[in-house]
Order: sequence, then C-alpha cells, then structure tokens
Amino acid sequence: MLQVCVKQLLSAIQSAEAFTLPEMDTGTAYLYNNLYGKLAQGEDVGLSNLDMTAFDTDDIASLKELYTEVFEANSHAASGLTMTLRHMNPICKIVNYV
Amino acid sequence: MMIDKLEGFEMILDTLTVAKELHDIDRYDIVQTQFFDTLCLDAFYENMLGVIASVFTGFHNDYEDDEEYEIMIFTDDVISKYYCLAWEYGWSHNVSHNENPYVIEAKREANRWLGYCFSIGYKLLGYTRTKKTAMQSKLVVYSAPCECCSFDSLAYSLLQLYQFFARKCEEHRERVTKVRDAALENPAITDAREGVMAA
Repeated sequence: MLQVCVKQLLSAIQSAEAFTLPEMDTGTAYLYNNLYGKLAQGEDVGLSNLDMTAFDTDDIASLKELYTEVFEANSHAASGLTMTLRHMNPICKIVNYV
Repeated sequence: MMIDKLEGFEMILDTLTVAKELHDIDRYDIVQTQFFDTLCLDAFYENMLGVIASVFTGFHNDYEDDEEYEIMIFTDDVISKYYCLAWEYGWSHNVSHNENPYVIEAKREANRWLGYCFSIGYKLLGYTRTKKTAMQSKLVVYSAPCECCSFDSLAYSLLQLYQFFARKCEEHRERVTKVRDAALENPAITDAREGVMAA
C-alpha cells in the first residue's frame, strides 16, 4: 500500500525549483500575455483586442509548441499527482485529541 | 499566473494563424466580416467556412449526398489575369499549353497546397487557348469528410494559392510598368523619334 508522509511531501514541494517560463521573443511574449494569459484567467479575448502587427505566424507556432510541451504537460502531471493523492486511503491512527 | 489546460486552445491558435495571414495580405476585411470576434472553440468551423467562401471573389459549392463529398468552385480576377498572362506568353513564344511555364508553375503550386490530404481533390481549370477562355479559368476543389483534414488547413491552403496568383499578377504589372517607364525616359528612343520626324 502506498504511503505518503505529508511532512516530507510538503517539504519536497517547498524546496522544489519554482517554475520559470522559458525565454520567448517579443511576439510570443505578446501572445502569451494578451491571449493565453487572459484565456487562462477566464477572460474572453476578441480578435479586435489583439494587435496584428505585434506578432507573426512563427510566434503563434512558438506559443503552440510552448503550450503543448510545457503547459499542457505540466497540467497533466499536476492532475495525475492530484488524482493519486485523492485516491489514497487514509491511515487510522490513535492521536491525543487535546 | 495560473497555468492550466485550455479547451480548444490549439484551434484558437489556428484561427489566429489564418487571421494573421489575412492581415498580412491586406485581406483583413474577411476577418472583419466573416469571423466571430471572440476567440473560442465554438466559432472555429464557422470562421474557417467564412474564409473558404470569401478568399476568392467567386465561390459556388454543392454537396453530393450519395458520395458524401462537397464540390467547391472558386473564380477570381487573380486567376483569370494569371491565365491571361499564360495565354500571352504561350502566344508570343509559341509554346504549347502543357509546356507553358505559367501553367506548370500554377499546377505545382496547386499540388503543393492542395495535395496534402487524400480526402481533398482538386482540378485547376486553367485555359490558354484564347484570351476569352483564359478569363474563364477556375479552381475546383472536392472535399470528403475526414478526421485528418480540417477546415483550417483548407482555408490556409486556399489563402496561399490566392497569394500565389495575386503575387504573380503584381510582379507582371511591375515589370510592364518598369519597361514602359524605361522606354519613356530613354533619350535614345526620343532622339531617334525626333530624327524620324525631322526627315
């Protein structure tokens, strides 16, 4: 049976390296902030809100690659970890109530 | 910033790619008239169908119920003018239709952009027998439902083909203008003419 020490898990999470965004050129960064960023926060983005001169089609491809290889992959990993923890059976233990 | 999986994000990016292409070829009017402004998964197919129907001026489509495929016929000034150039070249250089470099290049471009999927068929009906027939040139595309061929791919391909024809017509127009301007500015031609007039 899989057991997890919560203290150790918390310690591992706290000491893990913070996620840093990979380097992006100006156009990709524009799309990341003005498209992905807003959609991720639940906001609607209209074509009229975007400046078509601020990026080119290569930047769109870069963002797509970034999304697939980093964001989506991280999201899958996080979901997997969440599901594992959620389905673990609790261990009964006698503790002092006070 | 929360990093999360967004439903349909890749299709949103595909929509943006097509919109950007249209912007870059000065056809953003299609985005303004055919696209839903809000970028979302639900609007994807409508947006792409709008592009397919609008990129060339003339668009006619029909659906074959028995065979389950769609026929689309595209006509435009850029196609007609291109084949008029082809006719002119063939006539002035005494070159047959199949050996005409304009015809060969157009076939190559059509294959490049439309020959990517087994469920897309096409026929580039380019005529060079006379100038009148050249003006009736058109593009016919057949499309059967297929998971690997999406509407955005077809929309993008049609955009590229439109750009090809438009670019070639523009290049020819610039060449003709240059030659005419050079002829007008050439003093040798002017002196010769004056000499002829004086005699």
